[in-house]
Amino acid sequence: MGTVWNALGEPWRVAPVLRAFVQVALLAGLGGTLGCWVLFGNLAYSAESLSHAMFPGLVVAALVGAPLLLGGAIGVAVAALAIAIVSQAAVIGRDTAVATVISTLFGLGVLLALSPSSPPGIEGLLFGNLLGLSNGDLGASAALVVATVVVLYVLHDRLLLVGFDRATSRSLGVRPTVLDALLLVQLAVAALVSVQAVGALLTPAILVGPAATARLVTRRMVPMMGAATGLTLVAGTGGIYLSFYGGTAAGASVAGLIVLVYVAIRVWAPRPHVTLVEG
Amino acid sequence: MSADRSDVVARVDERSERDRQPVLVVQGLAAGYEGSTAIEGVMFSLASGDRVGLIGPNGGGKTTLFRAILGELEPMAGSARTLVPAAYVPQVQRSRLDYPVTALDVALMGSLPRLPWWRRPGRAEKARAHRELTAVGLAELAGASFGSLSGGQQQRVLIARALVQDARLLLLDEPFTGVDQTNTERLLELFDVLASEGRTLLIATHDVDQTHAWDLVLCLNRRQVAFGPPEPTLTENVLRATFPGAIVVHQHQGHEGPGPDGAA
Repeated sequence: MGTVWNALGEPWRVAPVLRAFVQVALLAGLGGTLGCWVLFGNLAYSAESLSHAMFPGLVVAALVGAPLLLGGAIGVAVAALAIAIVSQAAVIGRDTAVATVISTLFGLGVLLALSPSSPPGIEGLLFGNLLGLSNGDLGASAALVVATVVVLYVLHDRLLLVGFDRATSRSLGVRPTVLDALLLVQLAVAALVSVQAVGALLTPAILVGPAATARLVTRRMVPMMGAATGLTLVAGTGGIYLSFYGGTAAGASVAGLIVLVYVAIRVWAPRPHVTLVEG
Repeated sequence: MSADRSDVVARVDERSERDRQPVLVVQGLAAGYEGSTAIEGVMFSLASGDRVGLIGPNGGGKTTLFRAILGELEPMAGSARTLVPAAYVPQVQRSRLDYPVTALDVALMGSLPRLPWWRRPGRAEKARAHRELTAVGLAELAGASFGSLSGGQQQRVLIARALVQDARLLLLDEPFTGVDQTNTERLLELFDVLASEGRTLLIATHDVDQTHAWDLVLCLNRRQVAFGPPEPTLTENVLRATFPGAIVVHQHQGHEGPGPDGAA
């Protein structure tokens, strides 16, 4: 067989790289579906906040040797609580409250990460450790991704209604606040899964980037999710190859390719949107 | 000039060709938000097949009345009792034109109240949504993106959604906003068809002339100013009380206002 095929096949024979491919596939399903709801629920800012807010939790977990998922979950819970308290107390408005809490927590995380007692490799929490995942990590990711996608599938039509016509949704038997809360929980779960692979800083790219790109080329929700999933698969696989042969950081390569595809499509693709039909 | 029940009763006798069932009874209704009343003294009842114009200034309480009828707003006094399924048909949201749904997706949303939360609309619901899109004259545009439709078509999709809801009472919020003349006429024809099927239409509009073509008119300006058939009800005094400060051009001397001539 040709050397090209050899080169393409080579990474799949290396166990950590194989696990990275699996994790990217899981992330593709997650970011492709949830990402579209994040986009149309105007939750992009929340996606970024959540993934940054869990950073100190991750660092503490790494310092004490606890599972990262647990640390991240506690980090998100603390952040949510802090945001609730600050929003209540202050007249500064919700966005400012969120920004203040997130910056503080993120700063705290960096401070912890840079302390002399920190073990080496903790920068993986910022930019991910896509090539260092264990089978246990993958199992946890898979369980969370499947659970998220199942919930999104079941509630698809109701989510569509709330996004389209929030004011009328109650008279159609759907409570928007319940679905809002649910989406936020899903987003927190997604951030936990994604943070293992691409880190706290690059997670928003995975959760929002593919959906934003797919929106440029599709008009219906389900095809949009398909396109976003496909895009993450392609960019994710490409990023791993790039990392394998180019020696670049895996998580950053994946995130970078996602952004690159967005820019390319934004520049070259015709926009399929709003063509007014009269009559 | 409050609800003139004898007029309604007389008209009911005239149109006895149809089985006329009461569909909505509003009695001494007051409603509002956080302790302040938005509407009060509202008292009227509607029967199947009634086309009813709801007129009043912005902030006159039209939306509050709709929400009270839908049961989303607890009355502060009195009651609004619906005896048939009611559905709200919102104003077309220009801000959501890029939302990724087709006309069929939107019509299908009308089946959600019938389904438990874990069930998604299936083949039967889709067939039903198609049927109602056909009923409003949009069969061939079922797959079109909602945002790409004209204002009048979007309004008809939202009406189809109400039909999928099995609504016998339709609460239409300014359905002619952003709709051109031709499509306004098509909407008016559709309203006539729906009423002939025995559905009741309560139509919020700012075009007083339109209401002359309908059966009843309800004038609302934070309280009920008048209710009854348009011809005797819409006097100059009533219009002045409904739209204070506006220049009233009286209908019967020929009108100069915008909108189609709907004189009965």
